[in-house]
Amino acid sequence: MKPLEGIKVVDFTQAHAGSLATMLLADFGAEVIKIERAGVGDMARYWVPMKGDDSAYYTYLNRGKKSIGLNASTDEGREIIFKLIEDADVLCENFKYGSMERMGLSYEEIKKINPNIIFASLNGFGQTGPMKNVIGLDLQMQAMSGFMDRTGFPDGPPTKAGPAMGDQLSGTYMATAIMLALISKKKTGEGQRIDIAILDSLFSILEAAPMTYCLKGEVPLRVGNSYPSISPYDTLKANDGYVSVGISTDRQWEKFCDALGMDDLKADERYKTNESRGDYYETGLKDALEAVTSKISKFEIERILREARLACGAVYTVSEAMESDQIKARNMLVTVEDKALGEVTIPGTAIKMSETPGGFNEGAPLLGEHTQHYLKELGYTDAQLKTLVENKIIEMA
Amino acid sequence: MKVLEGVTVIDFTQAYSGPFCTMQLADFGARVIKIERRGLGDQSREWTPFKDGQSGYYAAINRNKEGVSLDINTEEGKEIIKRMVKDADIVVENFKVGTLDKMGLGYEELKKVNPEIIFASISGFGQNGPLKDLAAYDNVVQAMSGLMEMTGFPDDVPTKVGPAIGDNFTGLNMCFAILMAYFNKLNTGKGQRLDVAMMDAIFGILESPILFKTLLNEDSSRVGNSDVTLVPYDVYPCKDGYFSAGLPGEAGWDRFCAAIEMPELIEDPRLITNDLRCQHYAVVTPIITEFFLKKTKAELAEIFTSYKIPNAPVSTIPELIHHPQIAAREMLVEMVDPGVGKYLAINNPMKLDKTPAVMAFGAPLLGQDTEKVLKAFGYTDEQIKAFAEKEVI
Repeated sequence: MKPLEGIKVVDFTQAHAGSLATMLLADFGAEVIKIERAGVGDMARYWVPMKGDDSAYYTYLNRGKKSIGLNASTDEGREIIFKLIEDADVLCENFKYGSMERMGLSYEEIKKINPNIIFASLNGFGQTGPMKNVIGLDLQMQAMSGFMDRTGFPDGPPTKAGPAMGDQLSGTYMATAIMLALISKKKTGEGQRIDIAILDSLFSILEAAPMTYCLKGEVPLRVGNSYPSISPYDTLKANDGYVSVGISTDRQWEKFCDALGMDDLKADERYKTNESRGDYYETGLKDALEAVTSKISKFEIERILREARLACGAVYTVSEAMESDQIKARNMLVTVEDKALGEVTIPGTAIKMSETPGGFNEGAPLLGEHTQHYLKELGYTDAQLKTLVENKIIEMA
Repeated sequence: MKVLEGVTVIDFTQAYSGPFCTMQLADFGARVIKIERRGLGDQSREWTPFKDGQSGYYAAINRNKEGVSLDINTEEGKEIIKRMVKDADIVVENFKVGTLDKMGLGYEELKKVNPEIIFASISGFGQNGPLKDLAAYDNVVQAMSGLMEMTGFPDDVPTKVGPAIGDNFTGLNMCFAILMAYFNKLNTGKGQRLDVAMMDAIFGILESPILFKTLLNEDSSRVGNSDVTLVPYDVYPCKDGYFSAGLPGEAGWDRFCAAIEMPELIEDPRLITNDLRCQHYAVVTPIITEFFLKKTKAELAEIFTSYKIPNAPVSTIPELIHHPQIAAREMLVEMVDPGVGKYLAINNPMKLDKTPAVMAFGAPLLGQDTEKVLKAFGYTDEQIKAFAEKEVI
């Protein structure tokens, strides 16, 4: 049994962030009913990588969900939504601010049908503040949130994280907030409004920088791959790539030198303590270390240092990470039969629960794949469905 | 009402990933009892920045928790833990795999005391698999997951994401897991074991490179601040820092050219479609950069907003902290911390209108609440005195 079995989510989210939130809920058993614009569908359906007309990106985020193709801006469309919402627990959306209102689907309107709905919204800047109308694309959010300022080298430009961290993080916060609201509703019977902003989300994970500014009045420059308090904690050149190490005590430093045969460095007075290693890191120690490591392969360095029980990891390419035994042992790549793409392998579920495990065993829905199922359940007849299709109110796969 | 009122969490976590997780629970009213090593405390108490000898790093992620200082290597210490777990809902830990088992405080032992305890473990690589015993730092996980390979500039060093997302993103995922387990327990009465690995959490959100490999057998690497499928969509140096602007699709090139005062580029045959612009990234980027270098972030924001082109400055921390949007969102709350004194706490980003997060009190000094908590669990003054004399607390 899954923990969210029986929870019904009417899901207006699309693209990335909001869809990640509802993906997490679906992985753990919630019935997630995507409301997709008839004729067009979720914009992620057009995101690379694609095979023919179908997107693996869409499949990854939307596995296990249901799809109704609907024109929510019509009276008939709204009527269908209101009927669906009557017994729903959660409504999710990640539209531009004001969009749900414009469609006649504001929190106030929805509450008239279902007073205890949990209405969860996510967008770039939230439902309040001078920037609430601004659309937040991932690059802009990473830029504005201080996240990029903190990433990269002091003598280089601010750097974006490869994946869309703003979306991933805010989506995870949205799912977590929904859980809080479900718990609250279980105890009090009341639903509520949830408001998640990508800016707020990224701001909350900047680690020590905001506190440093508060206490010191200034913030040190970004530090690249090293870490100010521990030395050496860095990513070093190997002969075929790079390897990351974390040597946090003087004892570990000695073992590190022994493992790599660096007797001269071990004996060097300048490098005896963590603090002084830090002082000399950029002015000699790093170069001395790389003179040694750049002659060895990254996986060999990893093997040597692991034997000495020191924290280290090669910089794996994504393909290498995918091949690792650990990823396999943790089921982090799952192959499913997707109705559009056929057999496809997508990232698995990170959270492992012993009694109520999550996961998925199917792909993502076709556009409007479940329209007929849900509308019939609501009492619509075949004739009515036919008319709704002809009038482009709904789409059935 | 606070949504997690009445929920008791026995929190063994330290450093970043675990405390970030339990902070979310504490923010929403759970009673989070932080168990710290007697005499030493959470290792983050030694992390910068410092004020008056106290760590701001520690303060920032341990607000709203109660602090108990205990030697869990002693028999009495273990008994105290079991006494607390008996009445608790959740145990959270981020020790190296097997640590609590060896101390006789693992899941199986604690289930004898409280069969329905929710036992949550955060680790570098998980509770199973060939790497489960490996020490994990954030940079090691970023390296091994493929994240570092995907961050930074082509032909340049793979780059660590500055903030330790290996830690905090994993902690957030565990919070979500704990809430699901707690919800399940409300429904079924049953507890369970939770296992979240930093490696899995980060690998799981790499998106594109995994999908390109599995669908098309294509390898990917880092692309800097741009997007392989969109041009222009980048971060450019400007007069007073860096600024990002971009078109999220095919439309808008004419507006972009007007914005950078180069209307002649609209019809340039090399740049007329998004695909062509992608091919000629090296041609168009210096032209755009030349314009940006003449303008400040504020000027560029005005220009690009007027042309309805998505844009944002690369904010520095001071700019962000003083930004009116951050203020409007109440993302900074003045707190008085027993260690570092007055500071601005970063509010919880999960905004729930009926059961909001509350920044109730600062992070505990080492052992601050030991006596109070032990009394709440039924220990007498005499017993507490004896524990102190034997250096159990």
